[in-house]
Amino acid sequence: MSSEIDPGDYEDRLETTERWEYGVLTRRDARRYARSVEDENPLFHDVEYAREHGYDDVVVPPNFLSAIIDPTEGCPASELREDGLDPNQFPIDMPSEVILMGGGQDLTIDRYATAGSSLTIEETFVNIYQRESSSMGVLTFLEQESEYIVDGDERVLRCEATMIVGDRQ
Amino acid sequence: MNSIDDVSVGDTVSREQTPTRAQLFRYSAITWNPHRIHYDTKYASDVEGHPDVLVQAHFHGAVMQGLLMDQFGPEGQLTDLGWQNVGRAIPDEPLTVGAEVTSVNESTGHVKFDVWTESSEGRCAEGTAAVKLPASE
Repeated sequence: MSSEIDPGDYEDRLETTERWEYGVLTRRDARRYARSVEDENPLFHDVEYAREHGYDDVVVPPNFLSAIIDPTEGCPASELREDGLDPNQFPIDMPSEVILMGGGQDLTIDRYATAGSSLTIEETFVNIYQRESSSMGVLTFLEQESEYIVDGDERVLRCEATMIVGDRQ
Repeated sequence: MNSIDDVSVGDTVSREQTPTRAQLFRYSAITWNPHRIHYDTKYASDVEGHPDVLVQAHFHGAVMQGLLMDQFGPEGQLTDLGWQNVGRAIPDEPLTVGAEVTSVNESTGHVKFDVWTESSEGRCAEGTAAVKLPASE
């Protein structure tokens, strides 16, 4: 249960940063992400069109970067949680029988990344707190800040994200 | 609508799409999201109490992004996008995405918006966004 989580247990993990090398963002990444939401913006699909508008290749949809749930290959299927998620993707020891919800994101887009860029992700665990909900009991909020850096040194996106942990109803 | 002169506070744009189960599968695949609430109806309803599988939280941001980037063309630069997920959306039900201009700064070219998605049950996500537009010629 969410109420079993003690935020005080994780004070020493706050402000710790993990870093992943995602690898090269490909044209296929950009096009598949756009297609998955039926977004036919030619900046995402058409190399010549993107070049005519000042980009060196197709634009990667900005929120694709922050929508990547797991930048690694993930754990073996036999180790996934009952809800299907990788237990290693959380900054805390997540209880088994909880509901996990995306709470939202705040994106600051410095510039659009383009296909061919090599992406590095730096994710910092910045806050954990709890609130009582009239309908769902104790909710635990996890806040993370991520920076998305291309080609080693240029930040293209900053994301403040909130994950909400609740109890099964 | 691709110049700062074309935009006024109160202008509203919106469109409707209906996410399908195949779309949700594709979205989970490209974002490497194995969460069962997006593809396993029995788990989503019996274990977590949802009405069906759910549209991904980030999907709402993606359709807000798509609306604004389409609306303002390749010269417009999306600089900020923030949203909170405040309700659930399910596949095969219409989802409306909208944006309303809340401020226009002609000197910097920045236009700010309230943005949202909503289904027949009400708001699913809501937040703010900003686009930088070229100055008029």
